[in-house]
Amino acid sequence: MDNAQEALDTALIAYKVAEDRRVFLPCAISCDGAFLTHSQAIVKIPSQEKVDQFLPRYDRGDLLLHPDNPITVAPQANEDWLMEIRRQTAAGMERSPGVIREAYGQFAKVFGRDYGNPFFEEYMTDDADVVIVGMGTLSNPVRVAIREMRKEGKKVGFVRMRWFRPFAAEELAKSLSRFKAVGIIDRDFSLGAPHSSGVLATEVRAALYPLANRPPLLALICGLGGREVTLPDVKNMTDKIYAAAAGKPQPSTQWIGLRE
Amino acid sequence: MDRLFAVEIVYRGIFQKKLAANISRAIVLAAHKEGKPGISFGRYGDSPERNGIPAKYFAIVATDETTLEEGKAKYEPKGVDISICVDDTLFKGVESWAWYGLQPINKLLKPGGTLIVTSLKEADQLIPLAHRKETPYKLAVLKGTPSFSGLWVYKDDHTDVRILGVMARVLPELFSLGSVQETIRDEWKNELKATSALRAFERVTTVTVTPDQGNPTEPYKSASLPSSPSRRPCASRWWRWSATGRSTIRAPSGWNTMTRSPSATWAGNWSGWTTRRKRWTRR
Repeated sequence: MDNAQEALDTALIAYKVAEDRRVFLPCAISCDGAFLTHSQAIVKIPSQEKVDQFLPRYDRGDLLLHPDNPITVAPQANEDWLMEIRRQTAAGMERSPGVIREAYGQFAKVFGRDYGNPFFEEYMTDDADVVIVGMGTLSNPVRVAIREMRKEGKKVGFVRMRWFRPFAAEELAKSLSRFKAVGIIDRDFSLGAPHSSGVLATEVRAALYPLANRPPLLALICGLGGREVTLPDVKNMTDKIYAAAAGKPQPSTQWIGLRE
Repeated sequence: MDRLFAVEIVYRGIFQKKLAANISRAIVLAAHKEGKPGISFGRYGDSPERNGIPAKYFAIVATDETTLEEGKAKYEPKGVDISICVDDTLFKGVESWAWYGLQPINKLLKPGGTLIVTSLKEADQLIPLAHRKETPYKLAVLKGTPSFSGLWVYKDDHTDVRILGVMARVLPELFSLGSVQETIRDEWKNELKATSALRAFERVTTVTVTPDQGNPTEPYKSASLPSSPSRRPCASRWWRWSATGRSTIRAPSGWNTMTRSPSATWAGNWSGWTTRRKRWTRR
């Protein structure tokens, strides 16, 4: 998420998804520390009536673990059942994309805010040659830089991921296959990962693998530790993505803004 | 025309945290009354924020969401329309973190911007304390002692709303006094505070500070970063040293790294080790 309103809305949606019996899995929400968590912005706080309409009181029904019937159950799964339990959680996760779509649809009906595709947001991608992929508040400098680069004639788009798990692999691959090159900005680093990439680049690379015609993919690491990702940084990265689109050989992972 | 307003609040960490947060929050709310979107955020000079250490809050307001996004795209504003100093002892400059060196209190002010300070001193006593600035700026003195409206003790002496009243006077394009008072009534439900804002609005006077006024000394600069060619002429791409057989921290000759004690050849000389640590591994 890249703003406070989306953080609030996502919290409601996350409960809706996590409490759905078809999923019934814990849901974690990540926000950019400081940039988002320590800023104040005007948000529309929904009324309790609307929240209750969207998110009815949590009811565990006839489940064994219930606050009305406190008992102790050994929370241990022995090794001979672990695979079945894991498969059960995997089945819940596999059902979750449909539940997430339903939740976003209901959210739009109740609160009047429609986020469109729940899994990722596209910005100026309709006629884009190359595209930047990222997450979180990174979108602020990227969107501004894209608007400036568009004035210079560069057709750049941006895809902001919303849900990391479940990862919308097929849908994302279909979308990214339209472009001449893809640059993935990671504000993280996964030590020892394939191609020494960040986590998002590794996921996107895996998502694109089944495609017959994969666009060139560039992993870009910047803004670690909260370092500012500046507009020149974004323009620099875009130049590298354009170079990748032109077939110019370059390292698959590049660190941007590093002191040399 | 699209316009982006930026306001900086310089305060004493923890002791004045609530005050700064109140001001920055109310700026966004008052601007919102006039249909201008905004955002406010803290920027710790010394993270985590500590007692008395200079710290900053920022408020960014724009005439539309797209312009606001341009402000949000930067880590913090590089220039502000109004700088608010809620403790006149910060007027000599802000040394929030050695990384930045001494920052003049008027450093971020745009040409023609206004520096608002709460003080019992007169403007002619305060001007020599602040560093000289290449462009003229305005100084508005809000009479009062530094307010201790902090995290632990909140002294509600109306400094927050008085500053908002002064802002409405010096930058009416940002918001009007009416919007400030409406915000105060909504947020604090206190008519007396709304009156305090009005009084500050009516009474404040500003003086223009010219480039030849102020402290002429050059504030000391921040420490050279490791990338500085003057300090590290042959150390390009230092993160690759270990791959080339050099390490960033090297024990001095004769030091047994396994036992962490001097070996037989130890000559008691720390100089190489300490120099290397100082030069290459610390900021």
